[in-house]
Formats: sequence, C-alpha cells, structure tokens
Amino acid sequence: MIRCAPFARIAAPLAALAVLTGVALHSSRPAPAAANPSTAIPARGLVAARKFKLEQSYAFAWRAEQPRVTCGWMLVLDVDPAVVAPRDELEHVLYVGEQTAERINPGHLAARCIVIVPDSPDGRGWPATDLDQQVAWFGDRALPEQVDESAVRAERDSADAAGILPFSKAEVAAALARGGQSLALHDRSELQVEAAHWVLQFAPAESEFARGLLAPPVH
Amino acid sequence: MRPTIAAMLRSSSSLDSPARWTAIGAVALALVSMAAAQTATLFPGGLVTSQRTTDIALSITDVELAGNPNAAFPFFDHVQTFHEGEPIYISIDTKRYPLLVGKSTRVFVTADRDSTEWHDDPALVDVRGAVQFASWTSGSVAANTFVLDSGALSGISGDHVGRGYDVVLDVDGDQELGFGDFIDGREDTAGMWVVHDTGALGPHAVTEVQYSGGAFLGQDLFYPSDIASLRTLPLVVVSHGNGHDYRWYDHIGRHLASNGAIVMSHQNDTVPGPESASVTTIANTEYLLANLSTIASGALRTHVDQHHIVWIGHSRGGEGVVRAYRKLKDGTYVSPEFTAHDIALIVCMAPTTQLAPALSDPGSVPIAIFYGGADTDVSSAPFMSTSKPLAMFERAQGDKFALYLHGVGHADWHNGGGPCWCAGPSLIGASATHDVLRGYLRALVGLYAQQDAGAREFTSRSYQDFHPPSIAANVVVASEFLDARATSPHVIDDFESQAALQTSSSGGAVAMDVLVPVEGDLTDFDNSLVYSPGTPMNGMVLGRRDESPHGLVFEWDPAQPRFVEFQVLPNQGNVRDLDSLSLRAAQGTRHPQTDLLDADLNFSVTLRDQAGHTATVQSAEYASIVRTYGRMGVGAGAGWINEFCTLRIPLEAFVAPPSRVNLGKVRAIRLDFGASYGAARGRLGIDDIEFAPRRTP
Repeated sequence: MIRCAPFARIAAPLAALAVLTGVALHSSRPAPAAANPSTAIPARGLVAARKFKLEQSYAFAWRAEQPRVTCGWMLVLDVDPAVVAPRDELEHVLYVGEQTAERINPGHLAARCIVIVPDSPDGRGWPATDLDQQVAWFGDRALPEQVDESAVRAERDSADAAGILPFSKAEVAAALARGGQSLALHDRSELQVEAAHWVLQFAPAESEFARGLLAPPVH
Repeated sequence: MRPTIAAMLRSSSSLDSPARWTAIGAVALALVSMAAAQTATLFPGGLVTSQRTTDIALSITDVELAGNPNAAFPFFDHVQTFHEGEPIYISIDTKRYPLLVGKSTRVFVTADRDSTEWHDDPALVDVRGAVQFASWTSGSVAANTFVLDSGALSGISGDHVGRGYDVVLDVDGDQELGFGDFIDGREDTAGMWVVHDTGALGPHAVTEVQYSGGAFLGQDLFYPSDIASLRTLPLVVVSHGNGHDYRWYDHIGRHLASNGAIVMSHQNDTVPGPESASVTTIANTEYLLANLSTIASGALRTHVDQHHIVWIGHSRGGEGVVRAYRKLKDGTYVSPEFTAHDIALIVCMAPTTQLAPALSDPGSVPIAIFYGGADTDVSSAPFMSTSKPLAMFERAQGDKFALYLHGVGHADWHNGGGPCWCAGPSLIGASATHDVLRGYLRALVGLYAQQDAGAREFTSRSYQDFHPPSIAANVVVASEFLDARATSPHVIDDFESQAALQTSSSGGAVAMDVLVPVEGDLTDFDNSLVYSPGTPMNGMVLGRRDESPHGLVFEWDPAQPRFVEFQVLPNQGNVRDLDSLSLRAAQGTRHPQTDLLDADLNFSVTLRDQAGHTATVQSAEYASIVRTYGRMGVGAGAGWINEFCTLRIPLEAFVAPPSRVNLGKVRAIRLDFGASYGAARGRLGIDDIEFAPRRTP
C-alpha cells in the first residue's frame, strides 16, 4: 500500500526512518524550478486540529499519485475568502507541510476551511507527524488531482522563499485543545460526517453546505 | 366474359381482394406511367418523395403535406413539428402532382398509424371532428396552401413530448386510405407532431428524497409520485460543478420528473478536478442502480430504464461526465452496473476543458452543450486553454447540439443563487436561463432516452425557427446541430484535410473571390479578442492549444458581391434521399465589417446541377447568423467569442417551383455575399458544409 509521504520537514534521523519505512511516492516528471515566490499565499491561522485514523483506507484524490489514506489530521484554517472563492477554472491549491490538503468546505463565506491532511502512520496507526513547525499556504492555481511530488516540492520551495511562517507551538496547542479527542473511525464516510460537523461548529456561515454533507443514510 | 377493370374494382370493398388488386395494378401502372412521363419532363431530378414508379404501393402517394407558409421563396416549408396552439398548414406542389389540379379533396387529420396499422385499418377518421376540403389549382404555392388547424390540435400524449398525427388527402373520396390518396405519415413516423410546451411542468406530481450512501454519495432524488403505476423511466444523473451543491438542480429534477423521468443529482468531487468528478459521476450512478431496493423505500425498483441513462454535468461536472463516458467507452473503467452503451445522452453546461482532448472526448454518444456568453468563470477567453466549452462540440462524433446564450453567466445554470459569475450587456438571469434549460432538456431526454421522434426538430431546426414557447422573446441564442457521422452525411468540406483554399476536404474544387480568405485552425490564442489582419482567426475558441479544428474565414464589403463555391463531386451529387444542406457559420467578433454591419447576417445559398439548373435560397429564411454578443473585455471594443450557428436548408426548398434542379446530379454549392444576396458587408467563418441525412426515430 502506498503511504503518504511525511508532511513535515523532519530531522535527518526521522527522514531516514521515513525512507526505511518504504515511502513510495514517485514522479514521472523532473522537478520543476521553484514556483514564483509571490504566488504563495499563507493561511491566516490554525484554529483547531484533531488526529484521525481509519480502519478502511481510501484513495486521496487530491494528489496525482492518489495515495491510500489511513490516518491524518483534520484542521480548521482561517483563510482569505478571496483566495478560496470557488470557481471552475483553476484554483489555488492548499498545501500543509509537504502535502496537498483536501478542503471540505468552500471557505469563502466563513473565511475558514475545514481540511483533511493525510499523513503516514506511527506504530499505532495514528499520524506520525507533529503539527509544530508545519506551514500552511495556497500555491499556484492548478488541479490538485494533477499535483505530484515534484510539484509539491516546488510549491514548498516557493512558500519558503516567500517567508511563510510555520504554526507556532502555542497556536498548535490551542488548536489541539479546541479540536478535541482523536478520532478512530471506520472509513472516509465517517470522516466526512465529522468534518461536516466541524463546518457547523467552526464555519457556521456555511452550515447549508454542511447539511448537504449530512443527508441521512439510506441504510 | 372477361371482367372489366371497373367490375373488378367493384367486386370487393377490401384492399385484400386479389381481383381488386389486379385491377388496381393495371390502372396504377397506366396512370403512373403517364405521371412519370410528366414528372421526368418537369422534374428531371425526380420527386423528393419515396414514390417508386414500378411499385404497386404508388397507389398511395407518400408526400410531405404539413408545414408553414413562407413569405419568400420557396414560399412553404414542410416541417414535422408544431407547437400546441400554433396554426398548421398544408401545401402541395401541383406542378409535381398535376393529377390533383382541378380536384377538391377531403383533408383528414388522423391519429398516427404506422404502415401495418394503415394496412389493417385504412378507415379515415378525422380527429378534428371536422370536414375540410381543399381545392387544388394549377396556381402558385400560396394558392395551394390551406389552414389545416388553427391551433386546436392537442399536443398531449401521456409522457411523450407531443402527439403524432397523419394527414391524408382522400382523393377518391371513399374515406379510406387507398388508391390515389396522398398521405403524410404512412411509414413508421407520424406525418406531423404537435408538441406541448416542453418548458412547462408535466402531468406527474414529484417526490423528492435526499439521502447519502457515504462519502461523495449524497444524492437528491426526484421521481414521479405515481411511479408505482408507471413503466420503466429514463434515469437522469446531474453532476454539479466546482463550488456548487448537488441540491441546486431542483429546477431540472422537478421538471424532468414531472414529465416522467427519474432524476438524481449527486454530491460531486470536483475540487481535485474533472477526473475526480468523473469518478463520482460513475460511483453515484452505480450506487443508485445497486440500491434500488432501499433508496426511497424501494419506490424505484423495476422502474429504472438502465439502458437509457442521461448524464448532465455543469462546469467541471460537465467535463467530468464526458470523462466518465470516455472511461467506460475505452474500458479504462468497467462498471458492474452499466456500460457506455447505456448512456443515451450527455449534456454539458459550460464544461471546462481541463483534461487532454483524448481524455474528454465524447466520441459517438449524443451530446448537447449549453453555454453562456456572459460567463466569467469558464469564459472562453482566448488565453485560457482550459476554458473552451465549445471544444466538446468539435470533438464529438455523434449527434451534437449546442446552444450559446447571450447574457448568461456561469452560475445561471444552477438554482443555488449567489454570484452569477457573469459580465456583459443584457444579462437575462437564472430564471430565464432555466426556462431555456428546462424546455430543451425535456426535448433532449424525450428524443434520446424515450425515442420521442416529435422532439427531433428541437435540435435540427435553428433556434430562430423553432424553440420552446416559454422562452422569453428577448433571449438571443446561437444554435448548432450536426448529425452523427455514422449517419453518413455527404461531407463536402469540413476543412480537416486539403489545407489549400482551392480544394475541399472531399477533393472537389473550391472557387472564391471573397476578401482575405484564410483556411486554418479555428483557435485564437493571442490573448486578445481584438481583430487585426495578423489574427484572422480572432474570436475562434473551438479548441484547446493541443487540438485544432479547422475552418475558413473571409470577408466582403459593399464594393461588390463576392462568392465561395464548392464543387460537389459526382459520387456525392445524388442527394435525393438526403434531407438538407447544412453548414455552420459565425460572424467574426470585433472585425470592422462585423461592427459596421452590427446585425444578424444573411447570404444566399445556391445549388447547381449537372445541367446548369440553379435554385437559390436566402439563409435568413432558416437561421440567423447572430451578431456576436456585445460583451467587452480582453482588449478594446465590444464583442465576445465567435458564435457558430447551423444553417440547415431542406433540399426540398431547392426543387420548389419553378426550380428545375436535379437533386440526383448536384454539382455545386455556391454562397453569395453582398447587398444583392443579403448583408452588404460581413466577416464570416464557415465550417462543415454537408448534405445531412434523413433521420428516423
């Protein structure tokens, strides 16, 4: 099973460990030059954070490699509504660490996005990476389903060049406190329900959207 | 004593009597020989009808009767479809049927029957409950045109788009279809259709249910409340666009469900892109089909026609449904529930073109594209390769239909409110856009998912000629239609080969004296909609950077008339059994000639046969080549993208009296431009010059 690449710039021993655990993302394209730094737009803040793990994995459609997701982070980010105003032409892609982030709600009405960020599992199946020192930003306009590892690296270089600051320890601590207990769920469907409830809680301006996600089950 | 023919005719009242048929045959052969001789003299090209001079069935003449009078040549257009409440006329060319001259025949409007039903029951019963006679003369078409119905005929027939009727001239007055009679509609399609307003709600109350089958399986379902008493119904699946909501398409759901369809709009994974959207289109279709026993408490079970599925997509969802079809067709994905063959129709509303052309190629599935000229999201701006909705029309090989609406924005297709993503003059808003959408979706679903032949002319006739009556008069539309390539039109020039101006793609010669002609890619990627001599394809937005549909552009001015003439080679010149001459034309946006004309454009179209006989028809009688939408931006001036319109002229028009054109030996199509022929000036792009086939249900 292809696992997610670690989304943190981890220390050398941990990087070596990640390699040893068989990270298998690959790109068929040579690494492009760093994107224009001026296009990297920081998220405005981390509001809430919560770990999750799943019994049943799913394919992450927000990466070209479509890695299988078994764990990760559910986050609430403050965002510039103009950046996330939905459109059908190419949109800015959201990145957290070295991963694309799935936006659950549009975000333009609430100026907040609930996002899913896959991660590699630790020994107990929980996300292996800490949020401390992670960077969240919007990169170039693209289709997330076409973003591969090399594109993520280029976007990360762009974010670094733009001087986008990582989450602070205090910010992360507060977010974890707001986020509550880690989630052990069955599958992506249950994760979606939890994310929808977070839309109601943290982005009430988009409650109508959340209610669409919370349609009653058939079975 | 050998019986006389008269005695044999009197010997039986049944058409099945052998003696009667022997007598009929003898008389028929004699009269037909006389008629054929006259016909050959007057109409060397033969009749347009299905008459065969040696066939006993000629005792009954199959002929187009119903239609509309026309102030200009050919003075009458035979059509098949009429709106409920509109008058219907009949006309016949007595020069082609001289046997009618001097006769007063009773006219019957009957319920539609096919040939077997007519054979089994030839009795003529007029559904109007009226008695009408028509007196035929040797005079003009106008003198031989009569009102058949003032608008009283019903267009209601269950869940069908309309009601079919046959029209009979009872020449022998025996109130049976038989020897000497004329009929419009003996074969397996009605002679004419009266259709009700397809934009109006249908007869069924609608039940709506929202539910979820899991992640990206949220569904909003609409179905007739009385579904338990109905047969199988087509399944319509709606895939929304990015930033849209699956509950924003109730205007489509309620409308089509009230007219006898099952509609399911689903949560669509569009943010990653159209590829992901295609996955959810398929997954949601599969989920519904696999769970009919539980969804809506099993109300749909045994009522879903799984072999007539319609996919409707908006924006990324619009590209997603095409991608989904392509995956099924190519075998990239194999569904356990349905195949590509079960997809009867794809509808794209302002689709993106974010994937490579081969990935989003509709192939031979029927496709309809709806697109708005005021769209500021998927805008067709010349610098955006991913924003070329009309590329879907170019790629398609099946029946393809497109409506380009002035004043319609990207969000106007859904019912979720919010910003319209629109810019430009004369914005019509979501409500008026939905009027267009509902009227045409009903017709399209009827035609392709329910084999409703009465719906065909909604696509094959230009918008200006025929459209749902509930659409406001101020809505400006450029409409296009091309028959599936598999129907074997005679393609004279599609400009996809033979790059030289002097040679058509069919290998014939092309002559022209129009100004600055250029044959090439119908694509404009110079980042501006401003015309310059260096950008002859200005405003052409029919493909991404990695695809190249071709056409011809040119212009003329008031100084002198100009022409373009296409040779029709002998192997393509017999068009007797075909339906119409078709071509696509678009005015050139922001071109000086276009701006000076500042109006819809028209020109003359002439057919010439081997003997040199010609017949000329004005394009404006059949379609408007609309003035480009006056939106500003992307450079100086006003005018958005070039808007192709299909001009489709019935071949019958070219043999109306006094024409002597032989449709069996057509040798040239000539387009004439200038004040004597139409617009005194203009800038035009043309494509797809062809003779279109007759279509059966």
